[in-house]
Amino acid sequence: MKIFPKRVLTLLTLTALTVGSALSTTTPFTLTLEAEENPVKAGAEIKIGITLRNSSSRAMYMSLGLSELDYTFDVRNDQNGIPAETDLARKSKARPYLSSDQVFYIQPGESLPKSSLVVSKFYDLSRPGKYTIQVSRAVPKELGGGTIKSNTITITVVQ
Amino acid sequence: MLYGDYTLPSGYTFTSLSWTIPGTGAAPPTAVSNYTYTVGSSSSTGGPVFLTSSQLAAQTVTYYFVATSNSQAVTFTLNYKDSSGTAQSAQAQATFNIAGPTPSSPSAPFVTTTLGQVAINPGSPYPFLQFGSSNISNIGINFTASANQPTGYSWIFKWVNLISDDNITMTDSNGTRTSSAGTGFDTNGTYPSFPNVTANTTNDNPKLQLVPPCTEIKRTFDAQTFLMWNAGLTNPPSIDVPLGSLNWGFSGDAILSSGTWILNGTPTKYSVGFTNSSTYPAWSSGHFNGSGPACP
Repeated sequence: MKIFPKRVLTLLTLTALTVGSALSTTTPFTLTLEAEENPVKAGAEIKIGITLRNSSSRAMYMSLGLSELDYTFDVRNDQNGIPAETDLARKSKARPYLSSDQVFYIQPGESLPKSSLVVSKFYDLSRPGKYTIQVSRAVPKELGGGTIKSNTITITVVQ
Repeated sequence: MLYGDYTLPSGYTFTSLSWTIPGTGAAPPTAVSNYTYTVGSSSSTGGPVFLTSSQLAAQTVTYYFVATSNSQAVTFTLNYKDSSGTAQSAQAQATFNIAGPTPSSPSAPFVTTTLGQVAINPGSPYPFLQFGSSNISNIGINFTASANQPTGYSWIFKWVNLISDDNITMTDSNGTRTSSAGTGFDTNGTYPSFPNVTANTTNDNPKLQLVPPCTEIKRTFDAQTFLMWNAGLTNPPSIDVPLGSLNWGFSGDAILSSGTWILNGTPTKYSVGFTNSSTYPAWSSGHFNGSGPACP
């Protein structure tokens, strides 16, 4: 009976530490993904918009270039499988990417201009169904390194 | 949009009408019909649309002045025959003051630049041969526009980049091949070529992936960047007008040495001073960023 309160106190302390840690860990930026059109007719172009926002308390330099270079894409069908790549995607793998990049100085709370990407250029999303898309971006070393993921969006392809 | 209104007395007959708009015959024209562009997935065209003789002979003419100036007199001429059949003409005139940006001092260019270094920068899965970087420590080319702005406009600057030459020479065990990565309007898929980084600055850091099985990749890049200005009017909407351009470029050679890409020789870079001009950019092809030429 005397031990119980100590356990409760320990548990509460741990909880408080965990919450405190979560609150103090701020990612340098957030990624917000949105579908430009949803639902989409089968065979139509599927285009997404990506917004990178400085969620830290300090200004940062970030580059804006070709979306397929800046971001990694995770695309899944409704069976959680990865849709087949398009011919363009297969051919692109053997070729170097070239891009025109701009470097922005973004203040806390500011965003890069919205990037867009035609996902259907790289994955065959022509079959009716639901597809989930999430993007991630590497965090520059000077901002702590690692990777940040966006929200996941579901796009419905209809007949 | 100008409309020439007239009423002929009874017995008089209309012969023709015409507009005389200053700047239509200038080189470059400082009055145009429009400025249009298209950016498709694999093609792009753009440039000014000049006023035609039929547009200048219609009762309503729509055009745009594209250079700042005062006291520009537009003349409407009506040709007719009077009741005795004698050819006559009558004119009406309207005078315009065209507001727009002017250089901060009489001979000052609208744009100044600073140049960075050609470098090999890390990337995943492959590094890049890049003029500049993705970091402020090395900006390839930084453009800064400055001008005296007219009051009362929600103006914006825009940047149009026309690539005149982008040759990539790639070497692997199959040999060496030089390919063009395209010429024309430089785009990641949209107009203008470069987004504004601030209201009056932008920068460009062109990069190329260094991919296997290539063991050497060279790039030579030459471009002309135009500064455009839009007054921000909405009804009817303003078109972009040119303030001038400058030429710039770089070259670099990367070789794979013991598994690491390094620069071979000394890269080059240049930027020729900005020339203030009302000459529009014009293009019939696009330089689409994306996948480039493959190794031989």
